[in-house]
Amino acid sequence: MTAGVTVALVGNPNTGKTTLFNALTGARERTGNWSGVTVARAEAEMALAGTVARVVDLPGIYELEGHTLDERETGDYLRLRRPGVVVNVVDASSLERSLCLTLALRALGMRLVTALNLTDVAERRGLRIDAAALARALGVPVVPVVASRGEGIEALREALWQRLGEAGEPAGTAAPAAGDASIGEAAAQARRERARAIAHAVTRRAAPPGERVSDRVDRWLLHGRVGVPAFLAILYAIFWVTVRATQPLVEFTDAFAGALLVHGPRAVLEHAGCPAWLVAVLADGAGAGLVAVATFIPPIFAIFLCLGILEGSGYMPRAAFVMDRLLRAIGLPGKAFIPLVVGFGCTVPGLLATRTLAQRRERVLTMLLTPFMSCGARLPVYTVFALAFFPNRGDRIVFALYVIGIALAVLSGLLLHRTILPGAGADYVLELPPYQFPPWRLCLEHAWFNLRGFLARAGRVIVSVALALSVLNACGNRLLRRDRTSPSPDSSVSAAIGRAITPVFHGMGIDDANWPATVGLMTGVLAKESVIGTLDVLYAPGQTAPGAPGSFSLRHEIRSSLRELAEGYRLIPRSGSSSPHGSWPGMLTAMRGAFGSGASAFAYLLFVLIYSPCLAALAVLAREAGWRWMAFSVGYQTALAWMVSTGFYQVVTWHRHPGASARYLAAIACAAALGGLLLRRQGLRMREGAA
Amino acid sequence: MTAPGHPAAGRHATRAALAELTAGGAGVIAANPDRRSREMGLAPGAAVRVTRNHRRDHALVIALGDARFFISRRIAEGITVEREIAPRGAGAGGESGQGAKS
Repeated sequence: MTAGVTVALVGNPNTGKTTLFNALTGARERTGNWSGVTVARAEAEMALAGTVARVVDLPGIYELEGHTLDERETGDYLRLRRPGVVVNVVDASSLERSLCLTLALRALGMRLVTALNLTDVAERRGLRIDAAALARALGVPVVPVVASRGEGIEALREALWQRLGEAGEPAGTAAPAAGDASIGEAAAQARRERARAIAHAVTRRAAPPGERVSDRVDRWLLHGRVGVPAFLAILYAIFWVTVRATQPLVEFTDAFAGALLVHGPRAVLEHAGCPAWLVAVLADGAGAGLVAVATFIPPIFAIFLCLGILEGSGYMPRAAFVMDRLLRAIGLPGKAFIPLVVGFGCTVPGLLATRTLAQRRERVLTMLLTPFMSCGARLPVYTVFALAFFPNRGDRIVFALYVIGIALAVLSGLLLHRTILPGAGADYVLELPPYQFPPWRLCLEHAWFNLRGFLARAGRVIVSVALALSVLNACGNRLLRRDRTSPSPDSSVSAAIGRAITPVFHGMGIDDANWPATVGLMTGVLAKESVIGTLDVLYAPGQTAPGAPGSFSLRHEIRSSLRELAEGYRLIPRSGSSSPHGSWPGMLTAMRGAFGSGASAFAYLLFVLIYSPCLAALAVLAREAGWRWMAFSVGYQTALAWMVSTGFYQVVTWHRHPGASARYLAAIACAAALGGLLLRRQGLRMREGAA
Repeated sequence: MTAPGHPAAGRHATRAALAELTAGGAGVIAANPDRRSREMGLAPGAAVRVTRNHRRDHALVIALGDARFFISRRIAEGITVEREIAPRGAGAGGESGQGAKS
């Protein structure tokens, strides 16, 4: 009977449905302490008394008639797909409101099992729920659980099994048409009163609700003058941990993986008498690509760990409150800030998180602004450049880039709000969950899951790009120079393409000789991580060997990298003989030589920050907003990237070439004015069309 | 326990918009035309307390039992609450909780 049975998890937002889903199925879906973390349904399989059941996690709802895209998905699923059994996840600390939905589901004729979650939170607040009395009042099995600790999961499975085995179908099995469950406000009010009466009857409260620690913290964090600086301080702390605190680990990983994957194989292949092109492809191509991926492990793990703690802490809706005033100025509700913060991890879930916004205009505008938030994939690019050009203030440089991204999002929002996307942000109500320190296990799992995804994606892209480029380099040498001994990228196919495009970037300090930087930007559209993989291959081939063939010692390399790690964290005094930048002197030195100055490097980072989103983000943008908005995003962001990075470089280097700088700045001003005019005209045309 | 919306003897109630309550002000919702916030629990009969209300903010922070909400000012302006005014010398009317026995 249970073959192919479907179990759907349904409940109010932020009641722990996804945590329960993960506990039931072993999946690792995203969780967080705010309403609207799950914006699309997720499915996984669960063992149920020797059979396999399909478990479906649905976005949170208050009533069956949803207001937003994510909520409508849940209502539609329940009506059209009719799951075998519904696990109604109820928040024990907010029972009355949760029970309104339980009663609505019961009225819909669903076969229900109620999971009374967050009983630990309720107990901390002095609330005790009589589960047996609740089950009698509802006429539905009730199982107390603490999903975050895995408590009550077996009892829930057992209740599900028993419920499925019950003879006959529950009352009201005929599939109701949309709207049957909510037959007007009178019915809804009757359900609320019934829910209030049941909650009142089954709850024992030790003390009346009073001021909580969260209220005292909020008095400061939501304060007009403290809120924004506090948000920026939290952001800075994240980047300090991500960039500064992990720096010795980055250098260690680089040296260690470099010895194992580049220098070691190079020494072995050269000793075996392999041709130079094969050494280049295997050691400088695949090996260097893998080293580049391995080097990003510490900062990527750190940023996802920090974001996991932030998302689980309950701060996200507070950030929305703090930014409400700023976002209102660009026609967005403060709630739109949540997708933007999610975008710090990855742009794709940030774009999907806009489903919680009610208006399409708000969704489109937020989706256009989300790519301005520096995603985790751009972090490795910043980290390597910080290491090469700003070794003592890397954290501040990275923080500055994140803040510039936020500022450009606000300015772009202002421009789009006044031209093609006018309108006021919708009014809304957002629940502020109590602050909590999320369980370490969940935070580490969140970081690990994201890191694994990053490694799989970056590994595929970076290693493929690195391999393809080194093959192109080798081919270029063979075809163009007929030199079979020392592959140089200067005469390769990628060099020819890079050189053809580089003049566009002269204004931001990239000269013709620095064509690898241009190729890096091109491959970066595939995935931002590949910028560094590309630069690694194109700048450093042949320069990463530590010495003559035969002089390589794996033991010496590993010992040296471990010593540098201990020195980096000041566990032992610095000897002075170790390299400050691990085993990347070839690439870093080549980068310093190619860019010439910190100004040019920072202009390049600005371009990486602002230009076109990656392919994965563009695909989601096209699906969620339409291909026209996707094309607009590519054009707008790339043009803005050129203007901002060129403008920055020309202002900073004005004293060197005032005439040329003046011409560049005048061209940027003209382009900006023309772009603004076109947007305004388009906006007027759209309004006339709508009228 | 006092029934929500029914002031005890010796007290009288006045009606006001939720947005007019200052921080610390409490009352029982008498009417709310906004469906979404009604679904979230801000329905007639619910006891609420304002924890933050600065005129220059676009939103208020309110408490409904153990829950806290960030609510747009325009929605709060449309919600009518019944405030209990205690006679001189008596304690201020507190919230009645969210369906809980004391």
